[in-house]
Amino acid sequence: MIPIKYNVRNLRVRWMTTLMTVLGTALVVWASVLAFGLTDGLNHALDVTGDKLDLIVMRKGSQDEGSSGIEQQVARQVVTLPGIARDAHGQPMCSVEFVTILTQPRRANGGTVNLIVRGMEQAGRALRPGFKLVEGRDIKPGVNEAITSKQMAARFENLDLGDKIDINKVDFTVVGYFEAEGSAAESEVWTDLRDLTNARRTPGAVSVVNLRVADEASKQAIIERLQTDQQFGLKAIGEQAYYDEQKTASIAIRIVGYFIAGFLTVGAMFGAANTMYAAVAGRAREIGTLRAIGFRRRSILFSFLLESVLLCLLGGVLGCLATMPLNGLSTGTANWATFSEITFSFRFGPAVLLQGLTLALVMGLIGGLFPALRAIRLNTATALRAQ
Amino acid sequence: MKLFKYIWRNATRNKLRSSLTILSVAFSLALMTVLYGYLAMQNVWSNEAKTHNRIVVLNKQGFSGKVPIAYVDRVRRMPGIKAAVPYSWFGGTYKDEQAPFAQFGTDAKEVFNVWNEYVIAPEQLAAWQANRQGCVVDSRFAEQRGWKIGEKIPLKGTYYQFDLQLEMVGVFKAPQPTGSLWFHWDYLEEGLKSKNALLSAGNAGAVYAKVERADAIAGLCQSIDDKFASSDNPTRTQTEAAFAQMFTDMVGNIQAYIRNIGLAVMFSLTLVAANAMAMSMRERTTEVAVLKAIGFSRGRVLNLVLGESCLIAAIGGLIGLAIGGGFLQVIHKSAPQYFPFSIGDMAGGWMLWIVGVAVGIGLVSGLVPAVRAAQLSVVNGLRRVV
Amino acid sequence: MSATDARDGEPIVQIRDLYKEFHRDDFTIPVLMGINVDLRAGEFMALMGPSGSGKTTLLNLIAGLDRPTSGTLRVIGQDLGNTSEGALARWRSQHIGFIFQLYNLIPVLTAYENVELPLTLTRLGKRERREHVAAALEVVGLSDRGDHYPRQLSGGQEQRVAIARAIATDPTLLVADEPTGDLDAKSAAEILDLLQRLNEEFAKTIVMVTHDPHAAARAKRLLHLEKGVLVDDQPNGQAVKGAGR
Repeated sequence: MIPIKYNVRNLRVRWMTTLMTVLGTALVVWASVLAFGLTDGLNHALDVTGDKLDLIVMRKGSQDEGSSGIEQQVARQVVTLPGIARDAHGQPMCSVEFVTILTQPRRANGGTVNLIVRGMEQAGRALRPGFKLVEGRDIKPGVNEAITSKQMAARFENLDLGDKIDINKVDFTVVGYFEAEGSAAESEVWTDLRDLTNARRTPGAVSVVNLRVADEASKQAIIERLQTDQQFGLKAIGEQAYYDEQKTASIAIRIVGYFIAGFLTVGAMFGAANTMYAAVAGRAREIGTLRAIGFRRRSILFSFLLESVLLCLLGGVLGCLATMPLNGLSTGTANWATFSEITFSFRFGPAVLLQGLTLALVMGLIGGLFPALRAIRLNTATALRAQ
Repeated sequence: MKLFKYIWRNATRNKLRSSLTILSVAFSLALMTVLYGYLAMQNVWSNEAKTHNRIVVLNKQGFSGKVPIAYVDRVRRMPGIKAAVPYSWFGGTYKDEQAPFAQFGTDAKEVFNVWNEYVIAPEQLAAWQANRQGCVVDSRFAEQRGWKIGEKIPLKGTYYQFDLQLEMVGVFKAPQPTGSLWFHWDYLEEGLKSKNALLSAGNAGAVYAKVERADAIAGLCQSIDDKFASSDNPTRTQTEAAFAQMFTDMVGNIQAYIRNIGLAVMFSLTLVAANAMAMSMRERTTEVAVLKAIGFSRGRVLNLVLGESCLIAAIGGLIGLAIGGGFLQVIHKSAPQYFPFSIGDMAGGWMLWIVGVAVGIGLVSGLVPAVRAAQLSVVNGLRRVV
Repeated sequence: MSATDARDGEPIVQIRDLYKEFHRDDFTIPVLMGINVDLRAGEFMALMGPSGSGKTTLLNLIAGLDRPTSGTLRVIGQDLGNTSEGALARWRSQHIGFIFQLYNLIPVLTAYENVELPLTLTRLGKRERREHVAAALEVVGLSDRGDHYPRQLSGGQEQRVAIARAIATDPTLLVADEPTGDLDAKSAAEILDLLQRLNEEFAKTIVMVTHDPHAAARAKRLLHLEKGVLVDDQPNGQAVKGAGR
C-alpha cells in the first residue's frame, strides 16, 4: 500500500494543474448541485409536512382545487360528518374554502403570471403546517383584507403591506405576512371565504373542504362515505397524496437537472482524465521505481485512482461549499397542475450535497481509471529509463 | 495561414490529450446547445405566432375569469376583425388517462377563418359542422394516437361536471404540431345547461380573433378592452405571441438559471482546456525557445499557441453543436407538441454563438500558456537541453 | 548564395568592453568580463573553453538572444545593446542562422517543413519558399529526405536538416553551439565538412562553440575563454581541410 501522503504531495507539487482541475470540477459540481437544489426545493414546497390525517375534499373527477366545485349545502354537510378532529375549543378542524386564480404582474418585468387566492375560514389556519404570522396582523372577515407570505411579496408587484389587490373591482388590502414551513401554502394569498366569493360574484361557491380527521379509522370511514354516498358525489384525498401528484410538475425540472448534471459530469471526466494522464506520464520513472522496489501493480493502480478521486473530491467539496450562499434563496416557477405560481427556496440538504459529491467521486473514478491502467502497464525497465 | 499546418500538427501531437479536451468541450457545449436551443425554440415560436395577426381576449383576472359568450359576437362585429370564435378549454381526461390533452370548444363555422393557415378537407369540415358531437383533431396527433375517422372519443370532465361523447369526423393539418382537438362549443353549453351548471355556462373561455391588418392590432386590443371595461367582466386583449409569452413567463427564472449554468459550464471548460494547453506548452518549452531564436516574434508565438487552443476548442464546439442538435431533433421527433420545431427551423445566429463560445473558450484558455510562451527567455528555454 | 550585408574589411561583429552578469536571488554572477573581439566577414571562428567559461553566453550575445550588461555589441550593423526584443527577433530572422547541439528540429514537421519554417517569417511566396528549401536541402545533401519526419532520420541527418534550416533564409552569420556534441565521429566529420564548405564556398561567417578539438581544428580562428576572460585569440594556421575525404 502506497501511503496517501505520496498522492497529497504529488498534488501539491503540481499545484497549478491541481488547482485548475479542482476549480473545473468544482464548477461542474456547483452547477449540478444547483440544479438538484432547485428540484429539491420545489419538491419540499409540495411536500406537506403537516398531518397525515389532513384530507382535501373535492368534486369527483377534479384534478385540482381550482377546478373543483362543491354546492354550499353539501359542503356544510361534510363539516358535520363524524370523525373530524376537534381543536382545543371543541370546534371541528374543518375549513370550507374557495380557490380562484388571479393574473398578477411579477416584479422586475417577470411577466404576468397566475397566483392562487384562497378564501377560507379561521379554522383553515390550524390545518397548515406551522402556520404563524410573522409580520402585520391576520385578516378581519368582512372588510376585504388579505395575507400572504414574504416570499410572494418579494416576487409580485403589489403584495406589500398596505397594497391593494383588485379582484373583480373589489380592493383587498394586504395586512400581514405568514409562514407555513415553506409548504405550498406560502405560494398563496389568503382572504376571507365570504369576502372572496362576494367579490367574485359567486356567493356561496365552495371549491374544497379541508379537514383533519381524528384518527386513521375515521379517515378511512370518511373517504369511504364521501366516495360511495351519491348524495355527496365527492372524493377525499390525503393532502400528502394531493401534493404528491402535483410533483409531476417537478419531474420535468428534475429530468432537466439530471440531464445537465449528466452531460457536465461526462465533460468534466475527460478533464480529470487529462490531468491524470499527464500525472502518469510525468511520473513514469517514479512508477518504475515503485515497481522495482516491489510494489504490486494493484497498489499502483489503487494509488493513482485514489489521487484522481482525491483531486475530484476536492473540487466536489469546493463546489458544494460554493452553493451555500444560495441556500434558502427563494424563486418560483409555474405549478403546471394549477397553472399558477409556486414559490420555493433552493435547498442544499445532505442528500443534495451527497449527490454532488457522488458526481465528483464518479468523475474521479472513471476519469482516473484509464490513466491508472496505463500506469500499471508501463514496463518497469523502460519506465526506469524515462526522464 | 502559413502556420496553419504547424498549428494543426501541434494540436494532433498528443492525440489522447487533445481528444479528451475536445470531448470535454463537446459534451459541455452539447448541453449548452440543448439549453440555448430551447430558448431559441421559444423565440421561433413567438415569432411564428406574430405572423398570423391573431389576438386573444381573456378575462382581465386571467384564466379563471369568465368571458361571456356574447363577447364573441361583439368582437366579431368590430371593424378590422376578420373572424372571431369562442375558445373554451375543456381539459377532460380520455378513457383512463390521468393527464388531459388540449381540447377546445369552438365555433365550427368560423374557426378555420381564424386559423386560416390550417388545412382541412372541405367534406370533413362540412361533416363536422353537421355533427353536433363531432370533433376534428390535429392530423399528427390523431396519427400518433392511432385515431381513424369515426373514432369515438369519450372525454371525462374535470373542470366541468359534464362528460363529452365525441366522434372524430375530420383531421386538420397545422404547420407545427398542436396536439389539439376541436369540438362544438354549443355541445358543451347544452350539456352544462342540462346539468344545471349555470355558473359555468355561457362562458366562451377566451375569444380568438383574426385581425385584417397587422398595424390595426394594437388599436383593436385597446378598443376591445375599452368596450368591456365597465362591464362585470372586463377583458385583457393581447396578441397570440404575447399570450404564448405568458406561459413562458410562468416558467419563471428558469431561463436565468439556464444562462447561469451556461456561464458555469463556460468557466469550467476554460479551466479544463487551459490546463491541457498549459501541460502541452510545458512539454514544448525548448521548441518555443528555438522558434524564438529563429526569429519568431512574440506575436507570432502567441498566435501559434492561441491558434492551437482555439482550433481544439472549435472542433469540440462543432462536435458539441452536432450532438446537441441531434438531441434537439430527437426531442422534436418524440414530443412534437412541446417542441414543434425541427433543428432546421431553428438554425440561426445562436448556433454561431455556440461556436463563438467555443472559440472564446479556446482564446481564454490559451491566453496564459500563450503569454508565457511569448515571454519565454530564449536563453533559459535553450539551456534545458544543452 | 552570398553574404551581402558586410562590406569587405568592416567587421561583422564588433565587441568592446563587453560585460555580462547574471542575477540569482541576491547574488551577482559575472560571466563575461571585458571582452573585446572583432569578427570580419568570411571568418570561421571557434569559441573554446571549459564549462562555465562563458562561451555559450558570448555566442548567445552575438546571436542577439541575450543582451549585454555593459559594453558595446555591434553585429551586422545593429547595436544589439539598444534594440527592442521585437526588433531583435526580426533581425535574427534576417541575419542569423542557428545550429544547436540537439538539432532542435520541430518533431511534428517534416524535414522540408522544418527548413521552410524560418522562411514563413519572410515575405516570400509559396513558390519562392519552395525554391529556397530545395536549394538548402540540396546544399546539405538531403534533397531526397524532404518528406521525412525528424524521428525517421539519423542524428547526422537531423543536424544537416538543422543546418539547411539555418541557411534557408541566406543569413550572414551562422552560430553553432556544439554542433557535433551529440554525434558519432563519422557524422561529426560530415557536419564539420559541411560547415567548412558553407564558410568557403558560400562565404558564410561562422561562430561555433565547441569542446571538441576535431571541430576546433576546422576553424580559421580560435578563441579561448576562461572564467569570463578572453585568454587567447589566434588564427589557426593549420586549419584542417576535410574536403579530401
